[in-house]
Amino acid sequence: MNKSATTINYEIRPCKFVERRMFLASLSRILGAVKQGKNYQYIGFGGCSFTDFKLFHRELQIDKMISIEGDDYSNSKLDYNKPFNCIDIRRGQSYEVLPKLDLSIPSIIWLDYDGVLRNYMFTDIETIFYTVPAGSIFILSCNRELKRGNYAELDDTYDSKKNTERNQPLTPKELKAVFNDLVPFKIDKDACSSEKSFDTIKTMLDKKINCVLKDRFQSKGDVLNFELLYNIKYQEKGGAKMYTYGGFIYNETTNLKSVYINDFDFITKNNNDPVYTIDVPVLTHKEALLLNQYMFNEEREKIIIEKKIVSEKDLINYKKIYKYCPSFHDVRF
Amino acid sequence: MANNTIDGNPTKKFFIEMITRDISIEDAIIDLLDNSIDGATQINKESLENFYVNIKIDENGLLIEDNCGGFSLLRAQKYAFRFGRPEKAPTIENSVGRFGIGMKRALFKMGKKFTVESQKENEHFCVNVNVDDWCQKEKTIQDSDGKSIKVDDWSFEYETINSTLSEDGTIIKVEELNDDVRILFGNDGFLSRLSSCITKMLCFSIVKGLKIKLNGELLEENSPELLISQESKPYFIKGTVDDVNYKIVAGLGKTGEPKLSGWYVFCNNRLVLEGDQSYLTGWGVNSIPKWHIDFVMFRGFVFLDSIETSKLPLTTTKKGLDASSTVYRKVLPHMRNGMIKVTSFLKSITGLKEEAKDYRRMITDTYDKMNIEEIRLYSPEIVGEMSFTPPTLDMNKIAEKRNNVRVAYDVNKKTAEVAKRNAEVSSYKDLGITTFNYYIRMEDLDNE
Repeated sequence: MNKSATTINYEIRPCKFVERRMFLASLSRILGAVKQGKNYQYIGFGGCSFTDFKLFHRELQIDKMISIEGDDYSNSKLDYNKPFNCIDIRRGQSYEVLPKLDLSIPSIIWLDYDGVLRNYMFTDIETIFYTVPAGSIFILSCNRELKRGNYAELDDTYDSKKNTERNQPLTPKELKAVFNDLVPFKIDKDACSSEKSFDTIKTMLDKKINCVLKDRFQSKGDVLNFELLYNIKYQEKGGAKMYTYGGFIYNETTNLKSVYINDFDFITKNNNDPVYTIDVPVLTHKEALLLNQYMFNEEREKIIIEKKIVSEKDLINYKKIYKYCPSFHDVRF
Repeated sequence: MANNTIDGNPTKKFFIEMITRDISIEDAIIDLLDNSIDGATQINKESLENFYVNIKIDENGLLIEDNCGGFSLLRAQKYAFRFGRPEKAPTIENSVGRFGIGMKRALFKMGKKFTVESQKENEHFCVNVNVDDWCQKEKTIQDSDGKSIKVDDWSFEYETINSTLSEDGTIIKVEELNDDVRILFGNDGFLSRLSSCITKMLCFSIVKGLKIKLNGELLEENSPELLISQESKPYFIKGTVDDVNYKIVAGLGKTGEPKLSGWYVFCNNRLVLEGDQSYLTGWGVNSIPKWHIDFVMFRGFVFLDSIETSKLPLTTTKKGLDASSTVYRKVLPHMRNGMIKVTSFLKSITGLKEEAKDYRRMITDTYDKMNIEEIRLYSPEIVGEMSFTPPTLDMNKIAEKRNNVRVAYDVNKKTAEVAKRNAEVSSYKDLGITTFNYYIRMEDLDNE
């Protein structure tokens, strides 16, 4: 479920890197305006690399950090890799650990799941949204593919030995068989196709969050709302198709009215905005430097494209993400 | 105008058939016992030590005698025999009688002749009903044009009795049983079922000292327990919504009895939902998984109390809940919250795989047990989110086990023996491991 032990260093996935930097840029402003970082706790899946933990501890001044660890790394390996003493590692799956945590303090929670959408992710949402106070940030990332082969519970309902069958998007009926009442009553026939799956996931998450906040109002009288800020999709080269959904939990006194973040083009301004796509072009270091120098100069851009140094598509994509882009170098030591 | 009206009055026969259709005989009898308990509780809220209810059931009829205070003639005239509770009917505090239907429905359900005798203070009276005669009974009234017309007469007649019972109370007798009821009453299995229902549904009253005898046998309370220890405490929350006090306690119960698992909901101490594992209490709704054997140790208790009975989410049969009621809708999210916390721990136990059974057994055997009264009085310092503290579990070990899968296959016994000797292993389990490792090595899959 969490960051897999068998994959290579998590820190050098470019799309994830960009996304992480986008969060940092926007969260810095939000936390500056809403609360001081020190009052927040960060909850995430640190794995062995703790990349997000390192970044948020240093840049957001968050000192209370909890890493949920569901994989079977040894305790000594985890402790060895833990970059800061303030990180508290809790063993278990998210649905086992979250209910035990004190979520009554302002929290930034990033559930960066490795796998496809599952029911327990909605239970995690309920655990979080039933308790976290206004001012908290919730982010969820998951593989956005809604294909039959990912859901073993459907194996008996089709010819699961055939790859062509396994790769089929779920039908609405199958989606409902897996997720029951979490699925909206009215749903398109092709809701799980790769063009629409992220939208379907978003609708299901919207619905669940609204439902929990309504329940919370009924039972505790807390008047809270959720403002969507992140509605992002991306695919690492040769990797899984991912979807990220996140936002801010607010009330009348703690909200984003006085926070200006709309200049970030990755921030969702309206719940109905189209999904934002992170596409990190494959550029050499020299190409990136060239673009950095001449971008937004139309004539220069035209020359670069005409000379076929960089394609127009790559240029457009690079312009969107260059501020958050990693630059990898081979360092010998 | 008169010509434009259509008579919509129900016939008495239809009415009786409708009200008696959706209640079981067991529930109908318990409905009669509820009245006894309500009477006794009015006299002494704290203890029911001095009260008894004797039930006698056989193929000839039903007899219930109690010393629970009886009801007055005024109450009989104005409310007890009315179908439905009049709006101005005085409230019986903390009772479970709400709709004004229970006693009549129970009596009509069972037989063709019934008698209700009651003595309260100086009043002693009796209502005798022959159901067939009552159904035929008509009276003459004048319509708006002054014409005499015959209409159904819904009244009952009572007789005052001059003799005195030794204690105030009620005696209910049903005779000329309906055919299906007569067969049931002659069946020993029915008595066991009824006894089980009474001891569960009315467990609080029995714990408080009420002596209920069924055909001479004194019934003992039979209520679910909750496990507790120094280190492990159940989820707990309490509060008030719309004049209803609620208290929720959710935690672990003993393993091995799936039927005991689930939610127990009490309204004014009356069990209305027993071991519920359905959508009604949130199972299988909105991301909470459906009840599953992994959750066998789940026990949840909801106590809803109100002076004003009408505020409680009771149904007319007192079995199940009015799930659409505002009170229940406000309480349910707390139940879900508790459920998520307890079931997340129970899922972790499943992660122990082959050791899970022993772990569950260890908790069952070594933890203290709280009975229903102790659960009801449970009031820890920590309330709400952080109140559930589960028993300790080695999550590291679970993570390791979760990454393992079991590979199994059947082979010819003789061949397996040969292979075992050849591999120099002593058990089939070791042979399995050896052959699997052999395959991995030979196919050079070690580094995959």
